[in-house]
Amino acid sequence: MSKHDLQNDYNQIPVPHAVLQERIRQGMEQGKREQQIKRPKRLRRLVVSTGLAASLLITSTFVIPSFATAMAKVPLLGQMYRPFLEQENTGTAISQKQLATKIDQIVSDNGIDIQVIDAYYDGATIGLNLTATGVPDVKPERRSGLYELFKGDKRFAGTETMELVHFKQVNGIWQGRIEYMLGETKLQDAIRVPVVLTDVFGVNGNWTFNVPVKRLPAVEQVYGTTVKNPAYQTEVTLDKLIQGKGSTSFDYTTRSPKKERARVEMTLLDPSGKEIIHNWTKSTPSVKRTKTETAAIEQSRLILGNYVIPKGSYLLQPSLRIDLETQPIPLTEPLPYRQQSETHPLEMAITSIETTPEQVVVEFSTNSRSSQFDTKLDIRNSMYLLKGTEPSNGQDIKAKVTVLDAEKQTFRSTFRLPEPSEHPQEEYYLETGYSNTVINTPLALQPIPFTVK
Amino acid sequence: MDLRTEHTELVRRAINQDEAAFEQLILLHSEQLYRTAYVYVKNEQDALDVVQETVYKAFISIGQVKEPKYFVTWLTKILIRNCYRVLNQQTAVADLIEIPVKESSREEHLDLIDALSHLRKEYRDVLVLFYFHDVPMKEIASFIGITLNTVKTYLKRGREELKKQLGGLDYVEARSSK
Repeated sequence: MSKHDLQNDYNQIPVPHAVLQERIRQGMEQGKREQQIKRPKRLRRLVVSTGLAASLLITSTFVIPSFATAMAKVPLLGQMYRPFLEQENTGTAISQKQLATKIDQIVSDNGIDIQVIDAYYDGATIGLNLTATGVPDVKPERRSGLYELFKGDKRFAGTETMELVHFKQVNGIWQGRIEYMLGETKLQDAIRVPVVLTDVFGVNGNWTFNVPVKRLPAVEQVYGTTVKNPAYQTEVTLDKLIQGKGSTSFDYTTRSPKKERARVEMTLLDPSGKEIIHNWTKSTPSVKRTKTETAAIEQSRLILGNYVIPKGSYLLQPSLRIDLETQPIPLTEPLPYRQQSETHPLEMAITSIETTPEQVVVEFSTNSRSSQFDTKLDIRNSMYLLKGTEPSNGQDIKAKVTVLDAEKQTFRSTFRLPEPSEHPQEEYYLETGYSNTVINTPLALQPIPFTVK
Repeated sequence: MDLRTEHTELVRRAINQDEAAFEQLILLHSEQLYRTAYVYVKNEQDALDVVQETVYKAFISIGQVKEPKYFVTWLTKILIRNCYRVLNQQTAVADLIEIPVKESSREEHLDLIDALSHLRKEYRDVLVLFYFHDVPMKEIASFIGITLNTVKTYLKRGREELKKQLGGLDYVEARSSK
């Protein structure tokens, strides 16, 4: 070959377009699933603090029933989940009160019969009770069915429409329950719910149903009460309460600075301030999210299943977890490099970065001892050195930390490089514990008083 | 809006978690991603696996891209890492089974692919980034973590090696002198 056009040759490599597009779609789907159920990257740093880790998981993954179920089996973490699991199941209360509507739709495929026994629509929750017969004998983890509700129709804006229903054998019959929380602002009186199961006990097939559900009588109380904290630039409004027959839902709106997302946790208190339900975080994805020039406005719904709030006076205490976007910090950043939030009072500043082929030395200060708030994590020990900016492989370099001045909260982190580098400032990036500490130090707002008539 | 501005805008939107923009970007670069994967792993199935894994990793970490102009380099770097992961797996099983190769799709490009696969890893990465993904030398240096001079050396030596194997690369020199 006398003259070889490298790029031309490269461009001649045949591309299987159809299958490539399908693989791209699969890659994105994989990413979406990961984002829905993944523990935030920062959680890796918090394994020492189970309570904190669990509360983080609750805030970020509670919309995924199968994940919550799995977590319930994990010691320690599961202890925090179990009460929520019991609370979440509106169907438990509806069954006990015999309020579900009989359906009796049965579909057979590949030797398996699936029957929708009954269904319910309570407050903002719909549910279907199923039985399965003719199922093969499989391992416990495969005793489930993959279903999709509403054929991908996004109008209902609620919890995940594609999920697993787990079957349990009760009196020799395999039973399962699908529960879905609606996110619509204006709830309809009746809905038809298309359901398709495609993989039951490991058997591929198609079990399609179209189930009509009519809403059980519910009481809606409108409040519009707002609590503000100018220092945090955030306000929460309790908009509405929906009192169903087996559940209670709260609609609320959060307004926070545009760049910072506040996750809200609620604690329900009696008028004396005694906790009824602590850190109650079960919620649908936000019903509606809008942005103005300066603020992000998020309408959300919290649903407490298997709990009908009695008449009386209450306080709803919101606390905010500020979820900041994090970026690896290049070692070449101009100094001082400040990390601060528009909402959260915690601040951190990197004042010096020195590199040699063997090590990177970083000096920084924080205001974490400030009396304004109480950080629950030790921010000084949460700085890491990353190789490159790609997702971490968990082998980030931990620092040896020296306290320079305890009073002024100034520190020095020394990172020994695993192998000498001629240009560590080009090869390595810093990750501080700033955003970890911020999200794990919730900001409490004033409780919102309300009365249930 | 010119193409470059449009691309930058797409990256910006993707960084802000706009899924449609991300998908559009990936589709825009999909042929390039596939072909580069193919250059490394040398069979269709593995190349598709690499692209899927790359899309997945890019999707979950797109927020880490600080400057839209570095998007292509960042994405290619993830791709190349995935290629090496697959190559390591291929090496591990090579003693046990013969990996089937689709001859029909390989024949015409055997020279390029084989020549590149015989290069030192460092030369190959730099050549791929520079020639197939149009990444400037300075950026290659920054992202691989080597000096600009080292990039130039690798390009020069890589070209020489390719020359030996392919029998002349006039165009390569023409581009590098730009």
